[in-house]
Amino acid sequence: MTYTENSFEYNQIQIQTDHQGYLKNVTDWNTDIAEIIAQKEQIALSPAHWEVINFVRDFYLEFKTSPAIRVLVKAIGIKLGADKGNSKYLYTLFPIGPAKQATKIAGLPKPAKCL
Amino acid sequence: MKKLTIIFRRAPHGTPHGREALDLALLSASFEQEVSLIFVDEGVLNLVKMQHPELVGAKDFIATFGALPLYDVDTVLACKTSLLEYGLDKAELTMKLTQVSPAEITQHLADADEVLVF
Amino acid sequence: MILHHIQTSPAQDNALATCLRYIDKQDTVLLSGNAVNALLLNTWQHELAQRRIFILEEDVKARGLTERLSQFNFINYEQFVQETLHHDKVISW
Repeated sequence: MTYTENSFEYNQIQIQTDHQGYLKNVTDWNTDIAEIIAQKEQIALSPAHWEVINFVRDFYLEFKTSPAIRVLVKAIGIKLGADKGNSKYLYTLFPIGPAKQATKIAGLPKPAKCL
Repeated sequence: MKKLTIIFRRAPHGTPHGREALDLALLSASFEQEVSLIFVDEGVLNLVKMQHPELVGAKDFIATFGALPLYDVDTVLACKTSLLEYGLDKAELTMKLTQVSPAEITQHLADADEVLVF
Repeated sequence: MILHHIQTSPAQDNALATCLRYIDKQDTVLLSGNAVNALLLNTWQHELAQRRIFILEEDVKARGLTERLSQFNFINYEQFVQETLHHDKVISW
């Protein structure tokens, strides 16, 4: 697998990204590509990560925008229980920032406002 | 917590106002402000279903209106008179809202802490 | 009590018409920029007849309309600021 600065290879296809590693095309995404991006972010994806990634991706596909952190926290709380419905839990999964990292791994554009 | 009312008075896609208004609504709601939206005049055209803004190179922010309940923005009003003028009074619209009279809008504006018009 | 601020001509934009649809009896209308032109027309003079209105002096003078609009209340920028403080809020249409 070869990486260049703004793309990486997957199944002999060059996948285009921006300089921060966000996919250029939402439709290029699949779960293998999610794993590749996660590796670059030094995150080993667990089912807990996938819950968040799937939520963020579904949210984006339906509403054409990435959810604010508050919405993410609330939705995860409803899905996984109140003990996980807080930003601390999300930061343990995505240490650099849940909004940035979960959207990147979900193959979405960088959120305009990281809130 | 401030009561912020955002008025949509312009049609979508021709100007960036509607998208900016919605951005502000979501941003303010993320900061725990009590946000309400009012659609008036040509702004009621934001509520029309089955829009395809991509066809004219515009961003599909209309889909983003659907996220409002998840941001706890529950007060969405539309002017009855304006809906009637644009033939939308009986149409199925993009989101759950309350049709109100101009007088009810006047009252709502009086009750708000801050009113911003787009 | 709200101060409604209109900055565009009604020939160009619906701001004034929309504002008048939702304005309260006790509210005030402030016209500035090309919005002052509204008062040259009978329709808008009539629409605004029962309202408390102000027009921004500088904008009237700049357009050479001082004589023609002399029956209305002119205010300067300082008075404009005072009015924003006298009202509960300002809505810029």
